[in-house]
Amino acid sequence: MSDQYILEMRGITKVYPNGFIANKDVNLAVREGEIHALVGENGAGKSTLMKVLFGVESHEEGEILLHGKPVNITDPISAIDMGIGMVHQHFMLVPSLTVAENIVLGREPKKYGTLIDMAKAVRDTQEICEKYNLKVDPTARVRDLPVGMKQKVEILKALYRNAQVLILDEPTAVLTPQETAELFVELKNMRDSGHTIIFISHKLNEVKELCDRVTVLRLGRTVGTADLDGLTEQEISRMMGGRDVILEIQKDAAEPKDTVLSVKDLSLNSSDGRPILRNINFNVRAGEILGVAGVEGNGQRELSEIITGLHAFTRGEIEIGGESIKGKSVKQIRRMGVSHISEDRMTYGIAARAGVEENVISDRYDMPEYCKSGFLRFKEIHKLTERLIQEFRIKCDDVNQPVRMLSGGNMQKVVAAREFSLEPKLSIVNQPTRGIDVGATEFVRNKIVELRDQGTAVLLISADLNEILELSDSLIVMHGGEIVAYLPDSQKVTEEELGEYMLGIRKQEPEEIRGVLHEC
Amino acid sequence: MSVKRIEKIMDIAKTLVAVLISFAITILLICLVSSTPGETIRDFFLGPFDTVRRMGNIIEMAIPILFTSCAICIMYSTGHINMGTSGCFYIGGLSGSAIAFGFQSISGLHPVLCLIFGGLIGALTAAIPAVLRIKWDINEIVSSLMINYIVQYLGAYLLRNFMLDPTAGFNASIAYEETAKLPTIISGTRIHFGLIIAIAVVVFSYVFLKKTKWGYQIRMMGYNDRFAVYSGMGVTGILLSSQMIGGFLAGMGGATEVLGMYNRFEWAAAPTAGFDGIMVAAIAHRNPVMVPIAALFLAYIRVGADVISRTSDVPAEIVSIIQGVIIMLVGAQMFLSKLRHREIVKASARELAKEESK
Repeated sequence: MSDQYILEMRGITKVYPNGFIANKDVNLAVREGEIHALVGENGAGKSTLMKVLFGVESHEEGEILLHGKPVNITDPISAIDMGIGMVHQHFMLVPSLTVAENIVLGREPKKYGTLIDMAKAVRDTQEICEKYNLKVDPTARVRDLPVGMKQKVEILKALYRNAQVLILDEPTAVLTPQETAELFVELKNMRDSGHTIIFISHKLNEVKELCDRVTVLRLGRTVGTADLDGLTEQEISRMMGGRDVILEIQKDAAEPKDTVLSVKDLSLNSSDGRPILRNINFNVRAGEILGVAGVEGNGQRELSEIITGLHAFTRGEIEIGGESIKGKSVKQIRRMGVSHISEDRMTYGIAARAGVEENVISDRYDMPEYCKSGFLRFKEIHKLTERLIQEFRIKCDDVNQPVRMLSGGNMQKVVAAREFSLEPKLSIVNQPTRGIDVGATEFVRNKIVELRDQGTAVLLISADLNEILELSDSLIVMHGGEIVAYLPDSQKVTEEELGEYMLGIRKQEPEEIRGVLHEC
Repeated sequence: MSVKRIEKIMDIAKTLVAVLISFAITILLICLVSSTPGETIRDFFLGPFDTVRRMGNIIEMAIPILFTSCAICIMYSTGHINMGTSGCFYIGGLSGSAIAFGFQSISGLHPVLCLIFGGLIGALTAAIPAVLRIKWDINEIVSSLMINYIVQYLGAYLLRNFMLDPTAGFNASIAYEETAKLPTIISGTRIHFGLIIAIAVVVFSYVFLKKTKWGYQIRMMGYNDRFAVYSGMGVTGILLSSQMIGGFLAGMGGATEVLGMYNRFEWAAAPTAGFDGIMVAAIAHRNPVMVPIAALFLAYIRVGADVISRTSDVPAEIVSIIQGVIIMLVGAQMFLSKLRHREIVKASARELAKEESK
């Protein structure tokens, strides 16, 4: 009875050029006018399947049926023409253009046959905004919008292109709990007006709240499809991987010792004069994990880049172990015992075309242990790499396998293996488990706790609320480049409370925030 | 078979297929233009091996290319494309010549001085685009190409005004001192001592790039410069030193060439060796170990073209077509990519089946 389905994907197999089988005989059938959840652990193949549907990736086997008829989707343009829209996890917007300009981009209303009719673009934008009750200012520049708004623009962009089937790839990952609730209302409105929505997530409470039916993927295969009525979160969880997805990390209470990192009155402006960091003050002590919560883009990235020497600073002072890092190079700071997991694994964390071994030694290749009068000591380097592959359970063919051939989780383990193995005094850990599978996430999180127990001061920056609350001993919240709250005990914080600070709805008094200096 | 192995094999296959296709085109062209196609084709492919002298020609021609392509391997490994080897090679030859006729020295030492001086001037020349890049973020492809012209006309000026020997009868410098010349090492050919130096340069380049910390830094920077910065490497220093080492090798190559093959400096323009180096390094995938094979191959088709231009009605320029086709196909990322992807899919399916049967 395929005619009741608006969309069917049958027997989809996708192999990436590095040999990774992301989808194997995957089936997905979506009914018209439902919100269909696509769930699975990170790395289960959800995003790949949707990229195949949207024409971003080609598939090796299988067929796609739209309204019961086989279709050939070769690229996103043909997907859009067939009424499929996608909101990517990482927004595809032009920051310097206005909302209306972004929405009509590529399908601009014309006047006199050639010129862009901007007035009509704004009118059209307002029209669909009203139709779907999504409130966005059409003339605002996208770069000035908060994340939740940008996401609305993405959705509007798809609707403007007459999307009947809308794919949302982990839309709530970047949102605060309040923004998420708003999004859900809007999505339900859209469903009621006849749209079909595919909702990708690994947060089961959200799926349960929002969706009608669910398809579960595991390790690139379909586990099954079911009605969400009468299905418990535990049952879905079991289908996904037999584990509870909300990871609970076992850890004892922290035993903080001396202050390792001290940041005093740190401020930073962007090149065009906008304040990025405003008067930041905090201390991190040996043997504790200080979490930095906040919606992305509120200064966290710059903060971690300044502490690790990648970004210069002039106003304020940063001391590590009592020594100022002003004017010091990345290497000098690393040699002071600082390690750094960058939020952007592919850009900073690894050299994708280089081998595992070459990636592991990039911070120590010139230490006497691994280098003698200019020549690399390959015997020692092999030994180190073999040991780290064992210890961090990195799945690879051999020490020279190019890192680009590894899965995301294993890539991140390569980064962690390097950054955690030099007995760091201070570790700046930025989004350590973004986009990696649950097994690797659990592993990396446990390693961070292990590091803390060995006496490392850990500064954990994460947009993942579950991660921040599970891992940190105490935490600060950043909003608009400021610290708006200091919460001394992470165990006692609720997601809602955290969400309010992250959105800037609530702000603590300066005296409360000063608690993070541990002065008394 | 692992994905890594498939990729390696496909890389080699790609080069071989590129060579075969270019040969097929050559044969087709010869058939179209030649009145004696059979003979011409034979002369092209087998002519270079007819006499010892011609075989010697292949080696002689490969010597300068070995220098410049090793220079390119080191320079390009940083990910920055410096096109200046041509200028470095030319100015190295000119500077080496100045020492060769301008100074008296003993025979063992004299060529060494010439080569070092030629190398140093080459290194300074190659440093210019690197410094411009570091200081003002000027694209090194453009600046290095421009520097080639500057160097070449500067050289012509120096030759005309300061080095010219009016008694030579043509635009050439004063004759080199006998002590400065590199001796011929195989009689019956013009293969000179420069071959030994070139082999040493190949070995040096391999060891330097793959076994030392400096080579490691250069390669990591080439793979991902932001990764290098994040890891604590000083990328500006790496860029400058790698370009200077490359320039030194190219300049030394120029000096070696003039001292081994000529009695006077007589280059009115930069020889092709500089750009040949870029081509050879590309075919060799920037791996110094593969450089000799690629250099000999290029020299071989050059000699073949030379033979047919003398024995038949086909011009030597046909060789440019072969070069063009090979470079295009070797450089083309997507060439044979479907076959490669099919093999990888098959291998992955086999892996999966194996894992599941466990």
